[in-house]
Amino acid sequence: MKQIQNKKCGMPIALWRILILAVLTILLVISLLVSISQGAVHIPISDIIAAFSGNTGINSQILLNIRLPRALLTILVGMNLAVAGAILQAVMKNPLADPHIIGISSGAGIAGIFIMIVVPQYSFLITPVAFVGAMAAAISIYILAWKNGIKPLRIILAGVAVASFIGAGISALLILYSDRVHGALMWMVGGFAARSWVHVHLILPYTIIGIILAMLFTRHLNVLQLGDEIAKGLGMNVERIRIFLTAIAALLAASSVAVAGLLGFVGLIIPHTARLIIGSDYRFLLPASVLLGGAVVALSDTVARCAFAPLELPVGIFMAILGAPFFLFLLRRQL
Amino acid sequence: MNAITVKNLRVTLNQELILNDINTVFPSNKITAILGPNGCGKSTLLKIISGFIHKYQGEVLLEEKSLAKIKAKQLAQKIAILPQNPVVPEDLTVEELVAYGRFPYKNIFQANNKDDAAITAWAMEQTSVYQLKKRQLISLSGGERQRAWIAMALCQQPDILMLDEPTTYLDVAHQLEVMQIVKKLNKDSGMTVIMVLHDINHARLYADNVIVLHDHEIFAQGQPEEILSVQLLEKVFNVEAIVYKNEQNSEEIIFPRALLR
Repeated sequence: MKQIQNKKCGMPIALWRILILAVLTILLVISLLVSISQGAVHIPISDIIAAFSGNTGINSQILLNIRLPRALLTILVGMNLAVAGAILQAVMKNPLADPHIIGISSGAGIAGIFIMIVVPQYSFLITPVAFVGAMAAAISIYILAWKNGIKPLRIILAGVAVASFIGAGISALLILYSDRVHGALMWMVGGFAARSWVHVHLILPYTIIGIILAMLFTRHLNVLQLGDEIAKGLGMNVERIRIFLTAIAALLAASSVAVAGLLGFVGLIIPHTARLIIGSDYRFLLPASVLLGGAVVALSDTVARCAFAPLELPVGIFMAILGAPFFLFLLRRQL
Repeated sequence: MNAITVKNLRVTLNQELILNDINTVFPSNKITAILGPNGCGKSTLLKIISGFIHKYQGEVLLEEKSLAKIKAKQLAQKIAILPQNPVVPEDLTVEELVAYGRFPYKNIFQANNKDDAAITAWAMEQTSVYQLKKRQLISLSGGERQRAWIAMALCQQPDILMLDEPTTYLDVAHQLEVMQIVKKLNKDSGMTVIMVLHDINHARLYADNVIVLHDHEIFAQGQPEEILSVQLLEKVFNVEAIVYKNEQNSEEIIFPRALLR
């Protein structure tokens, strides 16, 4: 991050950061347009405009009922996971804290899979139950890792242990109910096949509430980066804030698990990339993660959809191919 | 007037005794140094009087009020503490760091305003880091960085400034610089300073009041020139010491010469 100088291209740092946010916003819009125009049927821009101005042709149908909800969903999931990762990295003081790696998503996942294959009649409860699962996993990690404060290494080890423990539980469920696993299997890797407006409505309120709450606490996140002692000295109730912020992250992660399954690495790659380009001030880092997260997941899903057409790869596989080397890169650089 | 009063303080951690029978006062507008060998409970005492540790028996009063009853943010407006070796994000600038000192005065909806910027600038001037304000903390020397941290503490506009071994890891010149900043703050604005020190001579030269801990209890307290003697060094630190007198200004320094067996 040494390349972030006080002045960049001769302009003050604040202006530079705002410019980056503007560029990321444009990137997000472009991602949305690419995502809705590409696919089995190529839809030209003119038809996109026509669809939004009331045209009811076949392309408009595809666009409004299939492409658009899916594209919006990928953006919302990307935003949720990116913000969840950015928050966890500050509260767990760990550059590798990602809801997927440390088992928070798995907590949401096992709760979701349980509902999906054991008691499918309650599937409307999937988000709150996934949140409970995510929170339970987060609290277990804290309890396992707590010893006179939080140490980054212990958090990651406890997280990996919790993730594999829950992973065993998920496998057991899949084997016990092997007649009903097909949907769950797709869900395990994370993907957006056959997602519709229902799912958009399911995640949207959580995204809005989660991001607004996170933005209100950006200064707390900044101060937490200075360590617990400084934060306490500045009058922050560190334990309470940490639990509250973890709950926000768990809510964001759980709601995206509920609609897109166990999509990994977004919460790892996006906040770090955002940090590299805009710096570690959460007032800018968080909005940058929101925009970049939306754009990257939307574009990745488009690639996963189109690369092997007519076969559709779940985007989770694509993210893992990107994410695993990135994880190793961070591991070498920061721990 | 006493800034902080400690009565019958006793601290145990995992059944191990950390501090026992501590009765002392930290006078207002004075510099108090806490001295003692490693593991005697100095840092724990500092953490208790700064409100970091709540698990103890006995009573700690800030002016007349029990420390345990004061809300964290209010306490941070009265007491600023600089811990040992704080960590910093890689790209944080001096000005951004110092401005965090305004945190205790803000709720979640308030950002720093012009007044806060003025206080931030004042704090940076006090420790001569104003001209470094746009520099990143990691690019500074140890001494400059320590001055930036002290500026952040001052930006809290505290009545009491607490420092935990502020000169550790600094070279002699930067050590003196820190001590002189502390002395100047105390003289100019009457700030109460409480610091854990290792250097006996710094305590003799800069402190008005000294508390010496030994075996988890107070061994001696009072004016530095009276209690920081050759005998005290023998008993507390187990070293043989010699006193040298500067002929010009009659300052005395203590030189620990050899370990006692």
